[in-house]
Amino acid sequence: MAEVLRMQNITKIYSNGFMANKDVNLVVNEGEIHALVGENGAGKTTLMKILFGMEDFQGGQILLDGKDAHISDPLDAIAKGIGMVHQHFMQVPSLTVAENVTLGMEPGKGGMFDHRQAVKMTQEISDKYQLKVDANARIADMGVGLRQKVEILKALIRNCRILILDEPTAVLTPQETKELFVQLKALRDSGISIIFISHKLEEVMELCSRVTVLRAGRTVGSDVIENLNPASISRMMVGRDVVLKIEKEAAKPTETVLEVSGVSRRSKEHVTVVDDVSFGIRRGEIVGIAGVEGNGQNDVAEMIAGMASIDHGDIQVNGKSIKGKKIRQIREQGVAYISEDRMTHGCAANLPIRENIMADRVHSKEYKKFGIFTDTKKINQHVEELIREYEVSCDDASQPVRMLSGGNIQKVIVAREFTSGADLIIANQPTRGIDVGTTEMIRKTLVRKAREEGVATLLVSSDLNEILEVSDRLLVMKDGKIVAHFRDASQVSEDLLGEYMLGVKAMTAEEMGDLL
Amino acid sequence: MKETRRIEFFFEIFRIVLALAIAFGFTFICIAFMTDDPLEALKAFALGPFSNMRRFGQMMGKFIPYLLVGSGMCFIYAANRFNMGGEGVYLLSGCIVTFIGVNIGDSGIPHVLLVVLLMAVGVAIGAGAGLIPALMREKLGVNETVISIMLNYALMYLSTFLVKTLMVDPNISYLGSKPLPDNMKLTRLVPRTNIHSGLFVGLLAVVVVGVIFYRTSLGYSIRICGSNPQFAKASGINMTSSLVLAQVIGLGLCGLGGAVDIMGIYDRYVWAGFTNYGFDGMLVAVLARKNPWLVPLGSFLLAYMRTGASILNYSTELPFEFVDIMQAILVLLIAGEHFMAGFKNKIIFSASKAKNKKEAA
Repeated sequence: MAEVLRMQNITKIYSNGFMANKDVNLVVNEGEIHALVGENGAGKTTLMKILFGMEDFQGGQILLDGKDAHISDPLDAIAKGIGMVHQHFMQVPSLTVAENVTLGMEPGKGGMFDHRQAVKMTQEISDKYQLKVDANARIADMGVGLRQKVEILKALIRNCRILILDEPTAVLTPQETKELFVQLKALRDSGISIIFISHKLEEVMELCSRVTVLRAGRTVGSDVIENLNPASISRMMVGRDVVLKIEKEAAKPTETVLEVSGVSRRSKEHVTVVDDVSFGIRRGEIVGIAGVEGNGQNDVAEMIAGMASIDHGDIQVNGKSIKGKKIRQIREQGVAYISEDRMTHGCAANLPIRENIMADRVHSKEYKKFGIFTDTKKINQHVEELIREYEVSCDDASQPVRMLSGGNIQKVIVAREFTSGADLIIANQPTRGIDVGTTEMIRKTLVRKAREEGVATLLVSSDLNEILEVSDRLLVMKDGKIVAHFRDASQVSEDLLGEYMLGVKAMTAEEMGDLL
Repeated sequence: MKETRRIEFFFEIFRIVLALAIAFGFTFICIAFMTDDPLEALKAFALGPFSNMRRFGQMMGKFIPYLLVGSGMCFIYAANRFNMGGEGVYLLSGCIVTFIGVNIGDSGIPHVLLVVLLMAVGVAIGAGAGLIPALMREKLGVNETVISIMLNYALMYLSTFLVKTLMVDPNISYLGSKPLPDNMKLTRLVPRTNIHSGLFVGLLAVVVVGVIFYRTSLGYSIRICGSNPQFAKASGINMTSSLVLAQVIGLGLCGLGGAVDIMGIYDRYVWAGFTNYGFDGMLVAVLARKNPWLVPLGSFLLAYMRTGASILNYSTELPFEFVDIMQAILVLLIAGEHFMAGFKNKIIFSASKAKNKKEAA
């Protein structure tokens, strides 16, 4: 098999001095599915962004077909036969599949768009590779699985020879994943090389023929799949045997902390994103909400945190409604919120760690002197203590947050939210894109807070492993509604969960029982 | 990553020094082309402000209001608002302070009490006028830059109107108020110079602003709101009040600047157009990198440049405006985040590489 791509000694340093790739090597052959694995933060996405011309690099070389290739930007990468399917789709929802796919290379003459030709081109490619996408459908009407196929179509219609898929299965249900794999194998057989980024080892074993493992920005090994097994890859990924199993005793929930009754919410586009949702969480238990992303889980979390308005229904925390209240009041009522988007809602990147930790509590009397001044000594003590307790690796408390790695930024955020004295913690995707060590710490702390301090916890996560391991009870959301309720999350399999997430199955109200 | 921080700090200083060098260098080249005796002109510009006490006083007379408007603008910048109302506020505050001073100055009120009262009036005028753009921005979402620029004109003409109708002195040939009573004039620290007791007010204001900035919850809130408003919201910070207060305090200090300036240097209120002190406050804040503790430095730098230029103006044939070129270069280079960024990144990259090599070995 001929070698199509060789990335040699690639070194990438970000302007905060963080070295994301250190002399990384990757060789991809024609017509293979090559797995690029590594834990979160190992530098997989960075490496692929370099290949796709989205990031510059400070050392090394990229060879295409054995020849030195200077990839200046994504357009150049596309011209050289590289296609990338991002984690976040780059699509215009109001346009049809054909319009999206041909965007930037519209067929037609003299500035006129030949719609029929666009549909024909798109449908031909879709049929050729059996992607089963209707070229006339509108993106807004499509599910995530199909939208991902549209991204693949976009790459194929531009004659890509190397297709990069960045954690494509993260947004898919197990059933959709299976279908995707069949299609990826068909693409491979037609001679396209696929780089498959993942940290799910079963998927890698099933799909890929060779594996390259990254750890902390370095290549730790590359081998054909026959010589590997999940345990050996896992060891290479983290340098030790990890079991992301959480040991926990059964929950002994007591009085109700959170009561959500019949809430609904419409988005800016007047689409109902949360539809008459009711449930409750009691002291000492962790309730997980699973679901394919974009089915209203995020909106529920934001409504409880006060970040999104409640159109109908009511939410009570500790017996008092939070409707119409300011976020400060909601927090004082006992709510802490770990937001899904940590750089937007979780921190002020340019400010020091100290300011970021103090943001929600600097107004409290505890940190004041003479009623007006902040008690600098006490603040510094408190911040130092949290930095130590949560093992934030930094110079000192006055270091701007932007200089920290993603995992350490998240540590700063959870250090704040876990210590705000809340009765209810909302953890919205708390470990997304975070290294294994921090992930483990966050999950264990969630369980500890619930068991030892009796905190009621709402966990929203699209990481099935996380939601099954950490939750006591489990809810599944689909199209803004709760469609399933499991009293014991540990008894649920990923496949079963997938069927509810996808809408293949749905429980009746009787089956779900009391959601409190 | 300690290394990275050290490099960033070094570059911050290096950038300012380099910006200064480029600005000065460019100015000197201009001087060399425009005058017959460039060395003499250069001396007048660079050393003029220090050549005698009167000129030094001239510089300090600018330095004092710069301290006030500069620290005021730090607040507004820290909140990430571009409220330019300082200029109008400066005028109106000077005008009202004159009006009150002229009317009650000779009524037997003690000097200290009068001065404190008039300064309080200056702050109140600034803060009150500052409420207009601040509330419009935070409550109605109107762009504060547009409103504050329009407000500047409204306040300027309001001041002129007040002078013409209520305060005008018919015995002088130009438009000006009646003379200020001596009772309201600030004490000259050095006789027959512009160095007056407003200096203490200015320095005190810098300290107060620094303390509010870094040692009160309001300062925390303002900086967090300015740095990332969405995060501020999620943390439960009352954004409206923090941002309104930032602008009100900022313009309050500009108002104080106008009052102190009038009481410190002038014999009557004679401002018929923009003084530019309000706008210069923004330059000072930029030169100080929005850090109140650096405001004295920024104020001094700007006062020095301005004084040097005016000395040059009356000792040679060079126009005063040429200093604007130098000032523009300076502000562009200091405010331009990308200036020297490539060089900085290169150093950070090689430091990072060296560190990784050491760790590997």
